[in-house]
Amino acid sequence: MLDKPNKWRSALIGGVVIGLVSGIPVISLVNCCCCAGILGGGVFTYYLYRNEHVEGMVPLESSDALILGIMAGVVGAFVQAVIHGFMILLFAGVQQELMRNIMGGIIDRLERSGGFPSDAIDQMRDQIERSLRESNTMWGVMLNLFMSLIIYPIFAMLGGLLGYAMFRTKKTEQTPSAPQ
Amino acid sequence: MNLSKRIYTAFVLSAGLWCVAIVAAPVLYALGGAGGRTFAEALYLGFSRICHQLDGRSLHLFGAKFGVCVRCTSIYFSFFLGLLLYPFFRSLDSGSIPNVRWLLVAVFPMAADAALNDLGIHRSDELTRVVTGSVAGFIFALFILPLFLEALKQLFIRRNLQGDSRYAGQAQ
Repeated sequence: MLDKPNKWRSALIGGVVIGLVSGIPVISLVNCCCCAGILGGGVFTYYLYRNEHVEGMVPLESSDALILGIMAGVVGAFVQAVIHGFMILLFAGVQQELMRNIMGGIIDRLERSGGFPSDAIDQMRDQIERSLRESNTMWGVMLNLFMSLIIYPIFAMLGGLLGYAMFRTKKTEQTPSAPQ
Repeated sequence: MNLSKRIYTAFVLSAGLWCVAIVAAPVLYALGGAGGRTFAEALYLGFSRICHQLDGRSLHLFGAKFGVCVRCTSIYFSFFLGLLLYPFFRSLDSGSIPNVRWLLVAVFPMAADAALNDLGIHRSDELTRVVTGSVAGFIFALFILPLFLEALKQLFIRRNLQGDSRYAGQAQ
């Protein structure tokens, strides 16, 4: 039987996707919904890996999904930190102003739609202003990386396991019986 | 205690600790003095990576908000509840997961509640957030726990087999 495909390719692509989704301003807001971007990245990583698996290879197991998720989460944390640092280097002031304008526009629209209470709108404005101030320092970048290295692998691992549940077929993947 | 039970206990304790941290943030902030407040701020900062933490969308304790919003709180607490109840319904060694369609049941109501609210079609409130979040968290637990147990058992077994073969090599 052939060996399983190498995990690094899928983990790197999945990790870059996680990093991009989490690092690019505005798109990163998707993570405010229980880390949906990171969970989705974990699912995507397992999907990529599964596509590399062909008949005749050793069957995929849930431990592959678990390891893939953790690997993608670690890669994603570094990619996100690099994007964050890069944004600061290139656009420190411009980016802050741009983000302030974009987010201000979105919040104004939300306020006009009447879907959010006014205190939630004020809170949102405060939070964005605070995060814009705090994020643009070296300490902010390091703290961001530290937090990401804890949270991303956990959620990407859960995403990988959900991906395994979604894409597994009884034909190719088997569960070896474990000793009691 | 067998391997499954040990992994299960560690997983439940970790999830429980996560839930305790969500509630500890407002308690420490309100009652913990200067040190407690610093620790609470660290918790809020950590949770800010995974939740918007809007004041109007969070539960409060002693006047301070929980570490995450009401929807996320419901997801994590019902996930924890799902982990606790799992052994009463299925064996930890069964490794079986529900039909994948249940994932749609978990995600769709929550996504619809949030999306329709943002589009102004339906007004999401605390009750809808709690109900949809709780359903999602509970169903996620039924998928993730058996797969996590199975995955870690596979890794332990593989490590033990490698250890055995190494010793066998040394003996020769």
